[in-house]
Amino acid sequence: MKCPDFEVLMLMLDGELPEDQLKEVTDHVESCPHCRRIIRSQEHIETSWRDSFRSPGDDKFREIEQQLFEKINHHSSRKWWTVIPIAAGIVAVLLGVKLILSEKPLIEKPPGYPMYESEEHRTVTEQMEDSFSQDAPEAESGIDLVMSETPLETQPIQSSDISVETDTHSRISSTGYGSDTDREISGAVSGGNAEMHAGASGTAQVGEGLPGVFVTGGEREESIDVSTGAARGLIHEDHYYEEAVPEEAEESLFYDDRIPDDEIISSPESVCGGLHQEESEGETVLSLDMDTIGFTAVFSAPVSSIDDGTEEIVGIQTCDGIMSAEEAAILWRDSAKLLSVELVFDINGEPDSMTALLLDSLIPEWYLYIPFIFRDTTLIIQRDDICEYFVNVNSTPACENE
Amino acid sequence: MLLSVLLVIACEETNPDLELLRKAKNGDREAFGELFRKYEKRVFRVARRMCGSDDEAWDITQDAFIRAMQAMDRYDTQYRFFTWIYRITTNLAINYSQKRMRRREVCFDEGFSADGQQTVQDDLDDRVACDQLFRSVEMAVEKLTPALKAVFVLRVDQQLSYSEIAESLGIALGTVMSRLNRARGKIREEVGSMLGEWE
Repeated sequence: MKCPDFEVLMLMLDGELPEDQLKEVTDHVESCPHCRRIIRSQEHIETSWRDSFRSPGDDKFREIEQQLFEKINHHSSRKWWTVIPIAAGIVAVLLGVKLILSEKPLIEKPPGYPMYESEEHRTVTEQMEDSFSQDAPEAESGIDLVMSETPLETQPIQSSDISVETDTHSRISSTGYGSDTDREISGAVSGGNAEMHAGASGTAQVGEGLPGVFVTGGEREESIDVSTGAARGLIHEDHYYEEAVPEEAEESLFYDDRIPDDEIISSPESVCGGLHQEESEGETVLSLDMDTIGFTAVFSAPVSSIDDGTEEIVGIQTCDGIMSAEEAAILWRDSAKLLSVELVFDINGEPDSMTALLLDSLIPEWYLYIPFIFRDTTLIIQRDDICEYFVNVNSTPACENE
Repeated sequence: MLLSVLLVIACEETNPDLELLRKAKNGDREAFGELFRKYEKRVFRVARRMCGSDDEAWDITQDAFIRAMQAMDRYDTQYRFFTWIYRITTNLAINYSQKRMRRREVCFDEGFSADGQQTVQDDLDDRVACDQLFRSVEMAVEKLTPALKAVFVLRVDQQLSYSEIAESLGIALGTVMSRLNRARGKIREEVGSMLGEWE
């Protein structure tokens, strides 16, 4: 037997080598000084590092525990009125805007959410309205106060402003499967992982059938971890966002360091926004952003045949099959016309004042529904889905036509 | 009925904190405090390994438990608590790291020392060599990307199995293996010639 790969030796070191290989590898290592040296040196590296740790004393932990519960108690006692002073002016303005823009309520009360009907909520809403705008007409409910129409055409791409990047669609984070011509994509997006093997491309189903596209690059294997709150890695070897992503977004993105600096190609136009179709040197390049709710992840890649390295557009793969670029553009654009709400959370997962007001008006004890992954994040959520989303944040809509 | 009883028993066997978690989910602060005291050192240690300073590690430790408390309603008791809290911790640490990387700060905290690592060395020369090795390893680990570092810390420092790491980080088993392999490869590259001392 020739010397096993380093990875195999490490599997052996970790006790993770499959049974069927264990004996053969063990026998080899016992008779091979070279492999034994590798294992021994690795053990030494890891032992010296592990044993170097010096834990603080218990006193410090007790101090931290006390602080922890003070913070928890403080957070639990947070009341709706804490945001009222800040939001008062905004609400008054929005009430006026609503009066101008809409003759009818912007949103119907979704059925099945008794929390809307709580006396406490109504009292809160009424109190807010009374306090803020004596002259304003009576609102249908607190939810009206923050609805806004965000058609795609009116949202310019601003690479310096992370908050616009999810404006093009509303509810995201569904499930999608796809495959390119020769490699299978495994895994699912939303509350789990999308494991995309090298050279694969496919789609992630977004909202009510909106396509998001991912294309993995070259020889690398990447994964998107949707559930843990961080976008990891890059998707296409030709699209790397270190320079292109707005500063605020950097905190949400993890950059893989396997791409040498000189291979980084910025693509600022395709970082923010939804669908982009550009003419470049006589070639049409289509790119889509896939934003995932719960954190901000933006992936953009030309939808192309990557088998032979060309950039020929082949359409967009969806659960229903290949969709042409034109069809996707229409679908994408239409989706952006839905009314949506914007929720902003800071690095600590605290909502900004407007977000807090919205949530207060919708969901009593909303903070119980805010996942810990909501930090440093701007969410655009379709208005009708907001309650469903927050209550069933971990739900994963099925892809019907895999 | 029998099946559900068996399932409950099986769940309790795989999740030793089930009772505490049930209480904590119902708002029992004492139960949550007990969970904190049970896992505080491990969480702090992961945070400290992942980030640049003791102060950051304390912040992350507190934040992790606050977020756990806030999200307790949605915690699925079929998963072990430590994998869940590790996930929160590593995510927080990654966020902290990103901020720190942006500030271009190189933090190499003096809090770590080589104390206690001379378990196998008998003479001064060996201790010096070991100290150098430790410093090199520490710097190499510091240079790892957060994702690689998270896997390395959970495996080497916390000695979690691959499946536990996968559960903790919410990544696939294959990803655990590939990241761990890359992390080790990078560290060996950094340590370089010093490996000769021990090979």
